Amino acid sequence: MANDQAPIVVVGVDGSPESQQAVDWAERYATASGATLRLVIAWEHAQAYGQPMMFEGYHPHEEADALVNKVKGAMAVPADRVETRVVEGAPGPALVASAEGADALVVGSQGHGAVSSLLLGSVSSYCVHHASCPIVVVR
Amino acid sequence: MTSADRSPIVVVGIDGSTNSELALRWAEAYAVAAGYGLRLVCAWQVPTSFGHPVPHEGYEPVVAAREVAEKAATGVAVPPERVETLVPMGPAGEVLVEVSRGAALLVVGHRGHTAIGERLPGSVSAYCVHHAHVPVVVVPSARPR
Repeated sequence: MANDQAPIVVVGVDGSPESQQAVDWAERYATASGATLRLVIAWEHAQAYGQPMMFEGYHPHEEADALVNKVKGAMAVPADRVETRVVEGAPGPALVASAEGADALVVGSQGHGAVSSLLLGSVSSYCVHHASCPIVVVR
Repeated sequence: MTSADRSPIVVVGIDGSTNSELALRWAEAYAVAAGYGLRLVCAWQVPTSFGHPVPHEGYEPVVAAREVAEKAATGVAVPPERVETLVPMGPAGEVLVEVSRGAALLVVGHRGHTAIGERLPGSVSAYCVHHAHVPVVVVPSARPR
């Protein structure tokens, strides 16, 4: 499938049930293939009219970090085969950039912003258009 | 390894293009690693012009599709009793979505015969990603994008 290193499978994490489905799929795939997993969570500052909003007790980076590590902790794959990345920025570009050189990028078909009338969310759609590696849309 | 209601089969869209060969290799590697079966699918349609079938002397689209699918199936690393080839009639996206119902995974190329120089996903991979009932893998073309 790739070169002589263990394959790398990148998974987008946002805490939604759909993203957990993607994580579960990637976990099964990593178990079967010996791949290393790279869990990626993106965050952006809440913004109002172009200005970041700062709230008391609002620490998006720390929250994202805690969330992705919670997901990592719940996995059966040994911790030394799971990396986590916390990226500031829009989720689509963050995932695609984190998947440079990876063997697969795994995303859910929807995330937190799920709109039932849409078949495919904006982030998964972005990834399908821009990823340079195989992309898996899990449902 | 699959969720309870899915069969251990990997479905892969085949159209004879270089891209579909990349999709097949990915699907084959996955099926081998997971111990799954492999279902190669080459959809075909009667060529038409403004709603009328175009007669082609000596050309049977189903025969051409079967040749493409069987050539692709030659030499796959999955044991032969777990390999099937299908040549359903219909638009490729709809056919692949239907044929992959209940399977573990659907694998398609990013683009098919129109792969050269194009960045956008082709119509079949886009259709499958939106409409499939199972996870879909889109395998990119080999050219740098």
